[in-house]
Amino acid sequence: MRFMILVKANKDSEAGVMPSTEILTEMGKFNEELVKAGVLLAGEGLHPSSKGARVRCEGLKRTVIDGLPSPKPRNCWPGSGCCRSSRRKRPSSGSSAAPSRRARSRSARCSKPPTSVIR
Amino acid sequence: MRFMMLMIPHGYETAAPGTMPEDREAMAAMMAYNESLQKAGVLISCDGLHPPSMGARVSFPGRKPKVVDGPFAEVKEVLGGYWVIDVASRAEAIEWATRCPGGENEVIEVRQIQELEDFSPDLQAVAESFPSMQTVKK
Repeated sequence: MRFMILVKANKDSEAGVMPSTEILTEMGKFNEELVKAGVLLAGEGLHPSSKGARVRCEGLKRTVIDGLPSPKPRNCWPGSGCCRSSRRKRPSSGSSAAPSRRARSRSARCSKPPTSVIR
Repeated sequence: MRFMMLMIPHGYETAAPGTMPEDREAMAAMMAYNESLQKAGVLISCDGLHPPSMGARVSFPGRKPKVVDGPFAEVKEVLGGYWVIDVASRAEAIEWATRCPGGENEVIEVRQIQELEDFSPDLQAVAESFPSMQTVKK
């Protein structure tokens, strides 16, 4: 069974603030544990959603919404990891061992996208 | 440049466990699109995700893991699937997203993946201190 572990954005990640070396070291150790356990398939971080875009599908029409000028956190994903596991519940290992700060654990709410640009 | 195209199907947040695509035509159109990404040499990976009602959320109040099983009533947008592509520019990534045979009210979020060289030199040094992680390459 493959699972995707999605790390939600927070105010800092959306503002483009890079993690401290301490947090990065902790996260590196966690990722290394996943590698050593042979369960990690891939793990990436994402640039803030203000650098991204959204494409809305309505019939054959495609609307491109370019970036997000607001610094408010959106319902988006600054990072993800793909794991392979034989069991869904892993009480003593897996994602519950992820180093995380309280701020990171909060669900970021999506603010309304800006005016769309129609191509 | 690597990008993630995140498929956000509105309504999927309330989908019952085990919900799978049923529209044969839509499936064929999506597979043809995936094949076009592959033939263009830009596709790294793509997958569909089971609904959040089959998932779980792990939060860390007080730095202690707390597991909550799906579905998640407060969530308005969920991920239904994703593609990772390697293209020459952001515009090219958006162009590929517009070609997707998405259904009504589906949205694709296009986000650039952070490469090692995007980090400051001191953070790059931290990342490089985990040699086993260097095997996870594009």
